[in-house]
Amino acid sequence: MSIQRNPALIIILVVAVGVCVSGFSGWSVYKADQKAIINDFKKDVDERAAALYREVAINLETLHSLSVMFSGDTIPTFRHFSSEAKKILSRHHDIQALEWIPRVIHSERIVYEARNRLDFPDFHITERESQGHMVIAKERAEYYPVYYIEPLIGNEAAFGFDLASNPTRYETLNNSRDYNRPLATASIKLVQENETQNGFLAFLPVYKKELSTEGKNRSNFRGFVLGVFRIGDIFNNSVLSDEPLGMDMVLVDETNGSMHDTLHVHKSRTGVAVDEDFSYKKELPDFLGRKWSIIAKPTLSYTSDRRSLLSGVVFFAGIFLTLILSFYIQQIYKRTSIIQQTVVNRTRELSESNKKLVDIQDDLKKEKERTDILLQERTEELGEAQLQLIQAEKMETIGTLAAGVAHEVKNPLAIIQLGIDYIRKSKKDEDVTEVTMDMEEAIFRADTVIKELLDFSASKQLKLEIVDLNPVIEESLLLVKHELMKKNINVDIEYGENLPKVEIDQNKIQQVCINLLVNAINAMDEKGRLTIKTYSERVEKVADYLNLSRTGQLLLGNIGVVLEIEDDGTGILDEKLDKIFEPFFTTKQSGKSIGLGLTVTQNIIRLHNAVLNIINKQDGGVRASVIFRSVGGQ
Amino acid sequence: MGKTRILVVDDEERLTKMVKLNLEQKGDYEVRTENLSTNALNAVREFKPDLIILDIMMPDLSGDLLAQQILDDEELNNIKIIFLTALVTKSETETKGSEVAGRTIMAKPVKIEELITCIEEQLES
Repeated sequence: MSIQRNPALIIILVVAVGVCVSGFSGWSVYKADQKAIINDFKKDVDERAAALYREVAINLETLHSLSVMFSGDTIPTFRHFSSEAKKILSRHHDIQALEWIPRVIHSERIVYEARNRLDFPDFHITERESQGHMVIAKERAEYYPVYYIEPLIGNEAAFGFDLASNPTRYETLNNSRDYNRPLATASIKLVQENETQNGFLAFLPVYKKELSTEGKNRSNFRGFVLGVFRIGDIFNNSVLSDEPLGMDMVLVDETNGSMHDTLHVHKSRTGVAVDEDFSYKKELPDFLGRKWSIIAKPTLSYTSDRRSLLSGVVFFAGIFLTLILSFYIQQIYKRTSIIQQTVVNRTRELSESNKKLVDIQDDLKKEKERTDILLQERTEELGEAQLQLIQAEKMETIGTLAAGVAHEVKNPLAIIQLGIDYIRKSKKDEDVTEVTMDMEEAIFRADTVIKELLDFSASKQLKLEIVDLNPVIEESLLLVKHELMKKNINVDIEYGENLPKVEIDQNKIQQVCINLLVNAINAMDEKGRLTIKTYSERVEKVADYLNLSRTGQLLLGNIGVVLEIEDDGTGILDEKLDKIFEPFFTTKQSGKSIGLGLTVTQNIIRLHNAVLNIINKQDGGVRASVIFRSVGGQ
Repeated sequence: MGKTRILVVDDEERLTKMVKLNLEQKGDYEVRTENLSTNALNAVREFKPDLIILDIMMPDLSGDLLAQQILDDEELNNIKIIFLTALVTKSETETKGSEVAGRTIMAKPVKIEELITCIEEQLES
């Protein structure tokens, strides 16, 4: 099925593409929006992380201020320590406890324990046994006991605890001591608290006076100022000072690589569930050898509050445009359909008119055929009319001439006749009788010639007879004998022997012969030579011999009977040769002929289905040839 | 009874002379000739012929018109008329009879016996 012919398919396609484009656009805007939100979120998290770090740093500063007490020449008393520590603790609520952890070599252990027992009679340097109970510490080369602690209440268990009893902690402390580097521990459970939260320990090595070398470190080393920090409180103090942002945060310690140590978990104060699809980890700057990170997830409200409606607007605008486009296309199709229908109708109308035109054409063709037939009939009628014209013409020319001649001849004949009658009665003598009889005979002959001349000119139908041609020519020659004699013209006659018969109207062919003979005689001077020849030959050969351009009504393969009349006159000018058959054309001086002779001749020839050919001979003069169809001459 | 009076009208003088000679030779006829057709009517009135031998083709006034004038004249309309003309041939007068268009007509050249026969026939009728 063609798409062009199925508007529904196009519209579906457009809607599909429109929905896709709208979706993609909306999605793109959404992604950009999301990206902006994420950037906002990261920025927020970064700010939180910075605040946390700052808070931690501030807290660590307290250790430095406290450490000053222990770097002097004398070690402050517990009371003194406690007094200073209380001041600090009152300002820094996220510090759970502050401690002084001196380095105690075994030989000094008794002294240290004894000094504290002044205030705390049960004081011992302790360690944790395998079951977790606190016991008096075993003997070893040196101890890092919790010697001063503020507040003591609630931290009694830790009071006297030897940090060196834990090998890991001991190594940490030694590192801190050797490199004069404050260090923090991983998270610890602060079980003393009302609400359980994690904390961490920060150690700040304290030396007597200024120190720069490891050796001196060891010898001048006094101990550690230790702070127990509540991570949750630090976090809350730093992070939660601002308006709730709507994010869950987890503070993790990643110092040990993939072994995440969760320091603190913060649930959003908005109480909205988090967007689990996204989380962002912000690593805090390295501090006290720890690598902390905040892993934050925004709540759904965080993202939704910041999300603009643009993506939706874009999407729905796209859908809207798609629908409008679909509607428009549908309208176009509807219009196209109407136009197509109109075109189809117009085409059909055109086809119908075309059909009508064809019908009209057919009618015209039939009409033409009818007209042709009519024309043919008219042509035939014209032929007949022409024949009548020939007759009329004959009446007009030869007839009139003959009548005039007859009148002029008959009067003298009448006079002679009456004279003979008178003489015969006046003198009845044998000789007179014989002479008058001869004279009467002469009158009769003359009268007969005139009569025949008049008969010849009388109107007659074409009266075809199958005859020999030669006698007809002979009779014609008789009729122009006077003319020949007058000009003293020599006549050569060469009649063909055993010629096939021809079907002709003898009178009319005689008329033709006379006309041609008279023309020839007129063309010649005195003592000219007239040549008359008849013969029979195949039409093709005759046509070839006479150089006929057309054979007319002659049948190829038939035997033609040919009459040739040649003169040795001046010939016909070439430019006039084409015109000789035209009516009223004549080469004779005016008055001698009315110029219908050859026209009449040609018509008669055509009526006989014969061909007349008139040419100038090479050696001068004119040759007129008439070729008749032979009867039965195959 | 006197001789039959015959007027011969023809523009050919020799012909009228020959007709006159032949008819008068027979002795029964008094013949007068007229060669000017325009004078012919006066000649008829003057001569009062019994019969007129009339040519047709004549200059100035043709024979048939002259005949009409004679017939239109009440005093003359009983005169017999024979047309003698070269316009017809003997074969025509023989096949169609001597009557052509209500007129007695003879073809030139004519033998005198034939003419006299015709004259007698006319006079008897």
